[in-house]
Amino acid sequence: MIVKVKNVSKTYKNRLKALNNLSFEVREGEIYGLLGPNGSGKTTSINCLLSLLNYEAGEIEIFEEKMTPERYDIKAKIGFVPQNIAVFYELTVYENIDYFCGLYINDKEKRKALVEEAIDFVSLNDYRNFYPKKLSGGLIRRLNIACGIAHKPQLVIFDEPTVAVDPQSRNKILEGIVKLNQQGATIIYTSHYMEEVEQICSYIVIMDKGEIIMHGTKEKLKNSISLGESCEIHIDNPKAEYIDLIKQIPNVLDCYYKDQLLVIKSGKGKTNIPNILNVFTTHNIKYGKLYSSIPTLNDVFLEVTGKHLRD
Amino acid sequence: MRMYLVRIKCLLRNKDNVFWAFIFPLLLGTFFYLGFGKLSMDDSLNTINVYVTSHDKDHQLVTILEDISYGDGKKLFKVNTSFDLDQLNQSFADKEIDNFIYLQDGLINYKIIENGIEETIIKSVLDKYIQGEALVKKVMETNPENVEKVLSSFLNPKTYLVEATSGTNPNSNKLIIYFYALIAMACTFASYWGIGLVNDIQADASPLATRVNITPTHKLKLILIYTLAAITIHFTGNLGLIAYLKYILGIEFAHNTWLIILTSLIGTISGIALGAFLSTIIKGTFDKKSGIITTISLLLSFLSGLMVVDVKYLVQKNAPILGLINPTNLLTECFYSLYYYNDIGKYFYNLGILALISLILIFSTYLKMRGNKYDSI
Repeated sequence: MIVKVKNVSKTYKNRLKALNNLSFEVREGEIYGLLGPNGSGKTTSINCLLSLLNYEAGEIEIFEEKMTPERYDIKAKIGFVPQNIAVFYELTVYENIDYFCGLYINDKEKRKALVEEAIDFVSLNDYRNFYPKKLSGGLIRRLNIACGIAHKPQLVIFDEPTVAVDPQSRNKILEGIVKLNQQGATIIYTSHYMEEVEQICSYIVIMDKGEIIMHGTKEKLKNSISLGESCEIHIDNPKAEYIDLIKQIPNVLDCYYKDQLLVIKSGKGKTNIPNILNVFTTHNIKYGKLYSSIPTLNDVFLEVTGKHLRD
Repeated sequence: MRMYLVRIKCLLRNKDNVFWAFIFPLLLGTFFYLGFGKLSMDDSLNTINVYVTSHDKDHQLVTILEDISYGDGKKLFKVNTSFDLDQLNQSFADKEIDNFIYLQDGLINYKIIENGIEETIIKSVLDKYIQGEALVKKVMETNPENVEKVLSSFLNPKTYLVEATSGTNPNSNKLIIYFYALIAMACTFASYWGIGLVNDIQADASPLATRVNITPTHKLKLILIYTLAAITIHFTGNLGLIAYLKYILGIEFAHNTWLIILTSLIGTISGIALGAFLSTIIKGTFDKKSGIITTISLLLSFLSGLMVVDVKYLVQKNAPILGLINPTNLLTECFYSLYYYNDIGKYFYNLGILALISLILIFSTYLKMRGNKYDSI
């Protein structure tokens, strides 16, 4: 077990209960996703894990050793990419990565090779002599990542690394994280973007109000809810009575209009769409395009908490 | 060594740091020099032109006026006896001359414009002469045998007042203390470098510090390296300031420049140590910490008498312990010891306490940060 968090509780001075009896375990080789809305306790969990924050109850082990602020031997095997940009604005891209790598690696030649590898990894070759102020939001995020991973840690913790990043850079970052994992690093990844977590994480914990409300693989999570399929159908002449008609179809869980689209949520089943189209034909309801999708993690979150992930 | 050099690089590339450490003290020194420094460096006491009527004059007075000189032989007065009373009256009315002396009914009279140091000097000398002349005349009439004695006591007056700061440097120039204060101020500026240091190491102070805290680098090592780098840069700035004041502006400090440099070094360390320690106990942003530390620095300066001199003596009299634990006071005491008191023992005593306080503050900073977990980040 790479990380073991057992019954950790943390209350801030303003009496906000940030973590409530939190427990989870991260196994070697996983990309472990902590998913939850802002304020759900993801960053607090990471800060407790890294022994930055004190907590009133619980135990935390990393690499099967109790984690404390002075366990430098454990810290040497960890890489951390914080949510906020944490680089020296007075140093260039190369100098920043070299400095942070140097806090872990003493050998000059080895460090040089690792820094070059990290620059390649985040595709900052063309910007190696740039100062952070001259970099775009996406590029500076990549630098932030390079500073956390250059020393090739066994465990890398990413705390919302794609906040305020353009889609192109986001994809680069996600690809990089998967690549790191393929190279042997165990990853803990926090985000409130369900698409990202769904895309890269092999195991997912969904958090809300400092508690784990569900966990498992994405397939397991999606299977655990009653929703099986969502359909969105363009209706030429939307009428309220159509909703009542649709709701009478077996296995339909919910139905409502969203702009010109009729949204139909159905349970698990193989004949949901044929059944719906059959009603349309029978009642001569004219329809246009039809989109069908399987449940997302947002649907899972919505069903469990009654609210959307980004609420 | 690598970390030290990178830290130096970071500090030097920060424009604010460079301005406050290197440029601002030089600018202030230049302003001091232009404002009043030059006044004190020059021979500000000039020979004064005195006008005496060309005829009907007191020859003895003229001789005395011509004989009075500064310690270095420079004459105090240049006596001009080329004009008669009417011409002098006219010139005085036209404000072409500021003074003239004439006899009326055998008595010495004078007219002077009643302002300025030169006029005050003329008046003092003449009053004393008139007073002396009257005294001698009276003694000659009553006790002629005592004239010599009276003349002697008159010409060699006894002083019954002794300067309170006995043992002071007789060559001290009161304005030079402003340049010492400038060096002291530059040292106290180092407290902001202490804030910067903690800001980059204490996990709850900045994202950068959070990242540094997760690395396997020992806290004490970080504190020492960052402190050393800050001392290097700030002290270099101070050396530049001292060199500028001494060699460019020509300020004459106390005899031993090395002791001023040593004071500046310990002062820089104490400034950084104080800033760092206060920064660990004050929660909040860099700006908030800067604000509070500025207030504390001003208070310490006030208690050291840098704003109102009497406060220093009040503190010394009523709460001497406050003076002993106030780094700014110790720093000024060091400079006073060198310049006013000329007392090396007192100097090293104050410098030693300052160094000890600095060490305690640095160690306390480490203890505050060591193995610390925080309530919030």
